[in-house]
Amino acid sequence: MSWKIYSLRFSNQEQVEIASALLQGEGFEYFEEKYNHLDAYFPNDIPTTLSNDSITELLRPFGLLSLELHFLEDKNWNEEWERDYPEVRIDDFCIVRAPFHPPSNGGFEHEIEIHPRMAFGTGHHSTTAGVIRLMRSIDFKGKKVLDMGAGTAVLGILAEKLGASELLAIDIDEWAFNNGVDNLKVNNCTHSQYQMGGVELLIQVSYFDVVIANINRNILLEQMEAYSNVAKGVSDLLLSGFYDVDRDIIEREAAKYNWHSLRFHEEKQWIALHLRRS
Amino acid sequence: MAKEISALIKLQVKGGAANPSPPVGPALGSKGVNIMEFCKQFNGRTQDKTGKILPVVITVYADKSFDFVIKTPPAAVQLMEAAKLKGGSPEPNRQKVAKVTWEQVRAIAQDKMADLNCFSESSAMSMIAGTARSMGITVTGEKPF
Repeated sequence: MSWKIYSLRFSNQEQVEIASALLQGEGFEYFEEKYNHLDAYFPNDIPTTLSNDSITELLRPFGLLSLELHFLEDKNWNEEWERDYPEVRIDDFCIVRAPFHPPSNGGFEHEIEIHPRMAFGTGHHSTTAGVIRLMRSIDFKGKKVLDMGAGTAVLGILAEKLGASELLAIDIDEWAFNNGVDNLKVNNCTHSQYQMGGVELLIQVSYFDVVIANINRNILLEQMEAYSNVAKGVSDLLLSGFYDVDRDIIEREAAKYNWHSLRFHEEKQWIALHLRRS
Repeated sequence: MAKEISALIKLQVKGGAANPSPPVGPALGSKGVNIMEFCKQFNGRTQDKTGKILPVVITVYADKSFDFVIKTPPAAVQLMEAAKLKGGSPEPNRQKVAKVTWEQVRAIAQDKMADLNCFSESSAMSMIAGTARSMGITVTGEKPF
């Protein structure tokens, strides 16, 4: 995807604020504000009647001094951080490292290599680490596992290493998908597949013994029914991506589908929750 | 000792929908911040405000860690909503295109109090009314202070 950036200069901050409000009315959703300066971002692949002239006409009465249009190609913006980050160690259970870290030489039950390239799931976030901790107490041997919002597929890869017979990883984001496919290969996950899409993909799938979803509160609430529909028999549901204040609402929604809470892990107010249905 | 600040970045991003694309990606990535971490935190903290475009001020420290503060929607946006105004005035000083009441100004001032450098509600209301005038919006009724 590429972006148009309208780089707009004004003589004071109030004009910057008014301009961003007017541009919101024109369909702009992303801005960066600088001193007397506004960068307004618009996706290049969305058809629009906006032009330099129409924006100038809209904003000139509100102090627009100059307009410049730039184009920006999407790329891995997280490259700088990804160049040099520390590996993640979850006790003696699991180490998640990047290709530039040396192999661990033992000391961990499981070792996962992730090259993130702007996908979520290097293990650094409390939610990923929390789910990894919960996974330690679950028997994955011979189980079919679904990883929704899989990102780098780090959790799915661990599931296969723990003995899962089959893994389906799903993410709506193209960067995550391309990246996750590579990570499955790098970690020799031969029983796993990755699909790009959303909850609609669950209509065509078979049943799972374990469903993992580390996304956010609203999506988990929306998709709880879909997860429940694809979980069969005695099954486990691992949810994360929400704060402790939202644990109650998540548990209540899950209870509608007969999931009961077994345990949770909390770190920096983020919750990873293990539910079961018998 | 306070951490050394390397950058202050102000963005406007949709609640619950931060992603590593522009402007978040280029603005934070160039500072060496883990963008994915910011997106997860921002989205986690704005689940009650999904779809609303929210200003967020991000402080990036020299060690590449960061903090951020999410503000309420800009006064200009709230004024446009209150006045049901779609576009701007071609001559905002002379040609008024919409109206708001002082009560609506008060409600916006109360919402924005924490973000504005004002000691009193009346000074916050004066600032909001000033923005309204600059936008071509008339504030109607008797000034309540």
